[in-house]
Amino acid sequence: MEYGEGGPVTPGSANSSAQATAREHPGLLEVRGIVKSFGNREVLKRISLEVVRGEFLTLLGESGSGKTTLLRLIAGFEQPNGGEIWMNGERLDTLPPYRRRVNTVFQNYALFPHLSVRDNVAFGLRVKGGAPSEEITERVNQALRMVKMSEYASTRPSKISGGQQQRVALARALINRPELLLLDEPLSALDANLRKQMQSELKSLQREVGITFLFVTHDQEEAMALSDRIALLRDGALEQIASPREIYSRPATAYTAQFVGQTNLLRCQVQAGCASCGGIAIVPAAGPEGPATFSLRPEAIKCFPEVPSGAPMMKFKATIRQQIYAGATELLEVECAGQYLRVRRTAGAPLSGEQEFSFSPDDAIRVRD
Amino acid sequence: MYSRAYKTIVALPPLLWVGLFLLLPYALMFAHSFWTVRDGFIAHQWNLQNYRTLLANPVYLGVFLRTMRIAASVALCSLLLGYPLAYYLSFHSGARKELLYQLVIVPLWVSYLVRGYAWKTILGSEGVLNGFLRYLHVTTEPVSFLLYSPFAVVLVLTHIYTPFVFLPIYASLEHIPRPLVEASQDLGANPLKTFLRVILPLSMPGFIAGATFAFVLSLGDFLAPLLVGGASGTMIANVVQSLFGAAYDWPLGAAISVCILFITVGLLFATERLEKRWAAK
Amino acid sequence: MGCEMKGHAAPTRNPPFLTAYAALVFAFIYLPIAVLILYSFNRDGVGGFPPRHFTADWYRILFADSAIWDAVWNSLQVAAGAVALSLSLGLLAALALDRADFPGKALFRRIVLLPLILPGIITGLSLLMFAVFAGAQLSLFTVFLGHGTALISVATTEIFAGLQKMDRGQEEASLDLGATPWQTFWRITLPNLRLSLIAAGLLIFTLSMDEIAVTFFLIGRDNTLPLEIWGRLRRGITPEINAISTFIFAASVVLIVIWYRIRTRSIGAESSQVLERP
Repeated sequence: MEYGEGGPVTPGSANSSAQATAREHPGLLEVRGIVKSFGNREVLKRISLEVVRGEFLTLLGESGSGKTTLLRLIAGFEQPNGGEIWMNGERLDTLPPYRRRVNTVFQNYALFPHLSVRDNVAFGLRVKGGAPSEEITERVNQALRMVKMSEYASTRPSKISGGQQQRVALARALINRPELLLLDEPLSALDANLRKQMQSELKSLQREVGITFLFVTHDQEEAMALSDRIALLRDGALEQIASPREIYSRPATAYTAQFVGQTNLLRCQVQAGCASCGGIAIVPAAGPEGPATFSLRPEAIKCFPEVPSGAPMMKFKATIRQQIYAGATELLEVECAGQYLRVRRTAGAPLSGEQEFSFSPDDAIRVRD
Repeated sequence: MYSRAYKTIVALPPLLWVGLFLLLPYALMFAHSFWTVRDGFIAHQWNLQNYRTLLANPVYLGVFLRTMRIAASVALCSLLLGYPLAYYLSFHSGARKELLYQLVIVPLWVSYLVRGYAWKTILGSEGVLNGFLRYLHVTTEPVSFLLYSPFAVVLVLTHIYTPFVFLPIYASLEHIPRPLVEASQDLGANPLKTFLRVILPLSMPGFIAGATFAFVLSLGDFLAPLLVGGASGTMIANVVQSLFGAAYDWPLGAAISVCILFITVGLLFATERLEKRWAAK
Repeated sequence: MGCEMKGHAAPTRNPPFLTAYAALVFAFIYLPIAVLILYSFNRDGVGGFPPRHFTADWYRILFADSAIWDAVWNSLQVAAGAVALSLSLGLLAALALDRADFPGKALFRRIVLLPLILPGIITGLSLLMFAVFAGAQLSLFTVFLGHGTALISVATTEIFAGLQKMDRGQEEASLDLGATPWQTFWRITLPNLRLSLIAAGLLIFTLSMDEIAVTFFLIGRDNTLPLEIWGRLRRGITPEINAISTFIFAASVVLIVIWYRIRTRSIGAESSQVLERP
């Protein structure tokens, strides 16, 4: 299915019409039942989600989960085999990429090597014509100031570092004032320290500019640090979409619980409001009877003698198998009746043998498999 | 990412042009080989007469065989010259490798005619070489077999094609990771054994490519014989040339050309297969 | 191709026999050209030994030889035309091979290579037959068409390699930023192919200037340089021809140095040792 030249071009950013659109459509982008296959491999399986105006939404997932494919579909470099994409109440997927009010920051930046930084940033304005050159110059300077690259304006991309290239790529995309900015793992090529620094710069930039960001990454820590909401993709389907706090504290599935942060998965049998998992009991346990899986985060398990007062706690005994020191905290690998669990606590004295552990039943989240 | 319009615009012009200006001409050549000449005109009667003539008439066969011999000699000599040169450059030339490489390529760009002509002035009875020999009092009479003989043709063609043969062999040799050579020596193989067991086999793709080039290009050459071949050094392409000229038998000339074409394409196809088989091992 | 140690020769003792042999091969390659240049200054002719009387007369005669310079001009025109034709069609063909799937793609790739691998006489004769078939008059124009067609695949190979090396993301970025495919082609694709186009152009120019086999059968009244020299050879040999040859040699050296510089610039410093055949 090739895109044609049809579909109305979304209007420019005259303020009143933008406000009217925002009132009508709080959801900026709607992905409706998108299916995408490459050959006979189905990469996206009828996926639907909505992107809220002004939010920082992250598509999180392993490689092969379809997150980059979905991004490219929204950008216009691939065509869906089924389903539709809508933006601001108008059909998006029938438009070619150069007609969409969407811009992309590519994984390897894709800066034009034969143009200077200034000319790279000005590119989008120049090709569309219309704006007088003084206005273009002014906007380019503004954009360069925003990403702190003003002094490199006349330099070629090959002469600046990776982090600097990334900023230029950002400026080049943002200067066009897109409705939606797509970022395809833009920080993956940077080393750890630079990455952290760029994360916080990116976050404050988004707040300052107010543009909706759709961010792709496989790094769950990064996703939690940056996002207003996280959409976790797994094998081409949407596993869960929620704020970082909610995804972490109330994962919907076992996969989510394990992918975002670490967890212990307890296989239990629920009967009469009580779940029994080998040597561990959880009361009260909601939901239907029968086999169930519970997610219990390592930091939720307390090690005797740190027993907080108040709420009723579940207790169990387990033998300490390993104690892994990590500076501020340590990880205890314990075994309870054949089940292995992990417990995280602040680093303390060496422990061994059998110990008593406890946790609050509220921290044990029942998850789907 | 590319629309149908884009793809059509880029594919159509070259396809049409090549179809009209290459495919059609080659097809015409092919068709002519099945026609005959009658009363000074080309008669469009389809028959196999030309091919029968080629097979039956010993003159044509004789020239064909001589041409094959010459081409094989050229390939062999070019290899004997080009391979050691490539080996030296790749393994022993050190800091001067770049410069030497450029020096080898330069003659490739110098006109074929210029180089052939140079040999003509050297090899003749009044030529430079004979003058040199007489100057040294090595001979008193001019040595005549140097020019206007198959020897001269082989000499000139070898001179022309040695750099051609050098290139793919050099590329192959450069592709051999040096640690392999070091490992071989580490395991106790002396330079000769290392060469025979490691380097030579790994350079086979370039070797075959180079030899094939030299053979195929020599096979259809008509200039060197005209310059330095004389009567005894005529090659099959000269026969074709005269059939299209004074002897006026286009169909027969076309038939010979088709044969040359088939031998060339067949050989290249066979070596391509060989290279693929080699790479798969 | 992942080994970093490729191309760095392990330090070995320089084998004297091999070195001498290599030197001999070099001598074999360059000796005729050296003789040629030497004898272009010889008053008494192209042969004999040693050359006794030094003179620059032959060059003076060459400068005054208008037939030669006419032929040079003809060759330049044909070469320029061939470059334009081959580059345009070669560029389109390279783009098509890189981006489009069409019936006969594999066949097309083979046919376009044929003029380079077949002996020139076959291509020349085929084109002659075509010219006769089309009722065309043989002239520099037919020569230009012949060269341009035969050399398409030189351009295609070179440009295709350049396309493969290009970062595909750039074209996507351009489209993403609002440029139409047409704008993307002019502003992004072509500039990135600049080096490939120049290298291919130089090569096509050189091959056309020296082309004999195909030209032989397509030439009309006006001669190209190689054919003019060829005609002279039949009439009698003088050191003037040596002089012309020396000029051609000098021009070739200049061209090849330029071409080599461009090639190494486009490939990059580390891998400049392994180059495909020109």
